[in-house]
Amino acid sequence: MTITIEPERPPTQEPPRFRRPSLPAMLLLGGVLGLLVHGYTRGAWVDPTTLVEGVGRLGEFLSDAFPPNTERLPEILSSLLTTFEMALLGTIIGVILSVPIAVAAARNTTPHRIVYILARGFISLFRTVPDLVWGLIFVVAVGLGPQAGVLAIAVDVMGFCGRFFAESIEEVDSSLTDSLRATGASETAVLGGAVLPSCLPSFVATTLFALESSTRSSVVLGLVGAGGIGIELSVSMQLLRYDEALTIILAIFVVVLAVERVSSAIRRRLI
Amino acid sequence: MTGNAAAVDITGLVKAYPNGHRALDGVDLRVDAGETVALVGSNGAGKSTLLRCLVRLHEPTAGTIRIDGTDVRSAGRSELRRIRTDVGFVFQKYPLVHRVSAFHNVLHGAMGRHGSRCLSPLTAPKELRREAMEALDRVGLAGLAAQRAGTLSGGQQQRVAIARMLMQRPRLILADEPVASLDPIAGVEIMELLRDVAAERQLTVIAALHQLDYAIRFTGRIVGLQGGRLRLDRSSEACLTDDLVGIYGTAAVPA
Repeated sequence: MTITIEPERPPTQEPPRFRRPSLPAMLLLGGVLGLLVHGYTRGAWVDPTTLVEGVGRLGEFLSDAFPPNTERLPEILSSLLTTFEMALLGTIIGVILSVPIAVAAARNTTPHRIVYILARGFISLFRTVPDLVWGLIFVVAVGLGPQAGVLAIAVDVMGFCGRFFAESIEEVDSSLTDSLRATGASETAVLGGAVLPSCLPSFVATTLFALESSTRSSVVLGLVGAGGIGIELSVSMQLLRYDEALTIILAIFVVVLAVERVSSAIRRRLI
Repeated sequence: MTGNAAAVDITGLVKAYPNGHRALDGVDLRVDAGETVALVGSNGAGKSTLLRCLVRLHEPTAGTIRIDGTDVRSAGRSELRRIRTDVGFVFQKYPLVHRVSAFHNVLHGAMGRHGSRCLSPLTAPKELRREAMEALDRVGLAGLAAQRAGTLSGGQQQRVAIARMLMQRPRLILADEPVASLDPIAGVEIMELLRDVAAERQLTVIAALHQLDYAIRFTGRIVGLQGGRLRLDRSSEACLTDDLVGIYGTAAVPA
């Protein structure tokens, strides 16, 4: 058999302006349109008239809410503090547990393929189940209160940090780990000597992101009974005490913003 | 080990990849204690693979490797670590932990002998700290011991890597293109340092080198690889341009 290679010919025609999309792209487009139409029949759409009315009611809410009622400020601040402490402890527990999981879930440090698959599976589970659902589960398990919130946040943080820690471990230059292996060092020593010190800045940055997101979710977790400011907000809204609710919202805003500012300042210094 | 065993004795070494490519295709090589050998050959000839197979950073496919008489391929995990402790490996890209000090990096060299105690200057025993300072002093960097490794120049980082290797108290040095990432002045300094250290401690050296003039100037024997096979084995003085043309083709060889 002879193989002939055709010489590359210069193009005689310019490429067409429009190319027909591929079949999968068409199917995907069809699917999205179908869902939107189906959603419309179920009320999942935005009605302009309701929207206009809604803006009006929002105005009512704001006029009721102003000026914010600071009568219960001490209680609000105290449960806001609890909320932040929940976020802090949950993040710390989550980060500590994330390190071994990430080591097991990084291709270059995992002790065994099966351990790798298991660790990845756990991380996916922690990530894909929303924090609010973890909150509900832990409320059932350990009862109402901040403890459930701490646990929910810890699991949520493990999903986030586990994945990003593992990715940062996988990015460690293989020649660095090889160079320590070549000295006769054990795998544990390679981990402690080369991998973890190299990953430290990225671990810290990821941890700070996790703390920011935990602070936000700890607020919402209160709504399902997992302790903190969320329950206060929910009660004020239900009792139509909008002026008190506004105080809570503003207090939450200040805390979340402060955490974000501090964490991004630290990250900037790290990098 | 046994008195007259070769420092390195390789027979029929093969490294084949799953796609069938043979990076090493039946290499036989014997290096006596105290020899300095240059491995030359174009990119992909198998130089790095050969060095890495020697301490099983790459797992060989077939053949035998003996280092100081010990069979490397049949060694279990702890035996392999003991063998590696005796072999200092110098890499092209001087892989150091950038965030910690030069001193801290040098301490890591003793991990094979002393385990996790050398993970940090905090836990390292006093005599190891002294030895690490001596190693840094030997490579001329005692003054920069506290400096973060990442802030040092390429040549300085390679010196730190060599000091780390000295902490192993190796008997054999494997150097994988140790000067390929350095400018010519730093390159000559590193080659001189390696040569002097090897002479002082009577170490065996096998160095993969791209610079043929360095190979001739700093080593006693030149071994050429081509396509995973040994094509040349000659003392540096007797090595002729024609030999190297066979290995590289004409363009690369200085007249």
